[in-house]
Amino acid sequence: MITPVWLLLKREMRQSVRRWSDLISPLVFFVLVSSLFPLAISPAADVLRQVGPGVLWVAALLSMLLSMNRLFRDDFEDGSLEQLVLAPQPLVLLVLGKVLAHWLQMVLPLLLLTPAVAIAYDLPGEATRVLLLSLLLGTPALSLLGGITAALTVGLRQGAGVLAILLLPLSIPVLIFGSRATDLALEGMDTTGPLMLLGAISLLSASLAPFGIAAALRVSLD
Amino acid sequence: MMWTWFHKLGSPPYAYRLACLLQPWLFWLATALMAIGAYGGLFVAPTDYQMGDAFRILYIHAPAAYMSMAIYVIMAITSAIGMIWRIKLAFAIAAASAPLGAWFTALALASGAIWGQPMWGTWWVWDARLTSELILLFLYFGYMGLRSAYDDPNQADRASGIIAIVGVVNVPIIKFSVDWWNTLHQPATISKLDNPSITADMLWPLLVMIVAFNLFYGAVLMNRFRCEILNRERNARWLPELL
Amino acid sequence: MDFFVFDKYAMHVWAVYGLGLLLIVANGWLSRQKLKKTKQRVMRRLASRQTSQPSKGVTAE
Repeated sequence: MITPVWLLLKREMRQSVRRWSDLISPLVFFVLVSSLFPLAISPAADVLRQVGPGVLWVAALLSMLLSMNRLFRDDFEDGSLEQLVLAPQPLVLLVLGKVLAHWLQMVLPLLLLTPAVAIAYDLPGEATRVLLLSLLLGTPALSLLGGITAALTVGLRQGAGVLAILLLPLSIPVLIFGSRATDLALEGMDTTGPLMLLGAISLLSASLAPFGIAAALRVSLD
Repeated sequence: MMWTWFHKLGSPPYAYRLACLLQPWLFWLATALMAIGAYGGLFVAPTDYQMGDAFRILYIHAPAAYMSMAIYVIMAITSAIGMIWRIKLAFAIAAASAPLGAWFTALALASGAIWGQPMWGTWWVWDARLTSELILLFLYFGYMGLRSAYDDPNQADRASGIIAIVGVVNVPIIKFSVDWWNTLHQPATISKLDNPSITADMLWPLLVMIVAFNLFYGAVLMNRFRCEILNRERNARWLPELL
Repeated sequence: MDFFVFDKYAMHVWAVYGLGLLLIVANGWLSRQKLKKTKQRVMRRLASRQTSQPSKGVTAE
């Protein structure tokens, strides 16, 4: 059961190393967006600290949105997506592997970069820790929801715009809980509530979304 | 047989004729009830001691908000029926419902804002209900956007069906998160809109209006549903005889 | 209620009921119009098919 997923994961990782510019661009985008806000709002440390958690979460969300468009597109264009759907292994597992690979390539580097950006926003260590934890717990849900919407829009010419309209409303709960957890940490309050909720949303998505992605891919490849 | 009606509804000519038959009844009944409800809301219901006459907005606002949610749920249910039993007409109902659902959502938002102006002193506050209504509007836009992006109606049906079901699973989570967010940010300043007690004179126009809005939705749905059938079955043999 | 006193409440109530009426009339009318147009298009299609390609056609999709 696990072997095909593992093989798929290895293939994805190898491919992404060859196309490293695809890996870099969401990161650059993330840093760029988060450096626009001090320029647009104010460079004062107390203002930045107040908006920091929200801004970083929105920047991460937008950067994921940018990379989500590519999740199935290359495979769709070279026909390997069709092979994936026709494969004897259950599609639900295979798409889980795809999403996992995408998360490892696009989101994990982003998490590694977050402490640096958090320093630029003058977030204290405890808040940065909670921010990282909330991203770690929340982004899998975003990846999975993004997987459904990416699978639905993969065959469309103007897919990117539709993808954004579909994904952003669905990602609001994750955004709320994620940024509020960091806010609460800044105020020195208990953050377990929102973090647990983020984890619950991710678990729920992990158990339901693969079926949605598989169904959506079958529709797109019709 | 118990299920014959169900199969009959899946047959386009039968459904088309049924829609023709039902539409005027639904429409005139809705109009009559709306007139009664509006009269009751504007003239019969006593002035609210807290909100004055502004509470009469409730008779438009609440049914619109209720319909906006009900129609989304109907879209998800009919999409699920379409996916499970492969009934294309169920998708047609979902597709025909979406525009009116979006309009009701817009009406709920607009009337909420107009209500908010005298109550809160501003057109828009990030109140939990207004915010989740706004998100619902985006969900409708997403559904309609996805539909229109597909050329093949069959693919559009199933793709938009998936997003309707995903949306309806997410709506309670969104609602919960927005409520939670709202209570953290603004502790109970706007409980004015919660009606602690409502007299019978205030209640019946509301109920009449809700029924009227439902019937009106049915009337518009029948027209749009017939459009969907005509577009989908334009090559069918039964079409010339019917027109 | 007294509608002819144009205080802020009456104005808002009028605005909302007006919007509601507008939405209902517009949607009822639009759906009728759409149905009419769709019917015409389908009829035209049927007519043109009967004249041009009588052999092809009446198969259901």
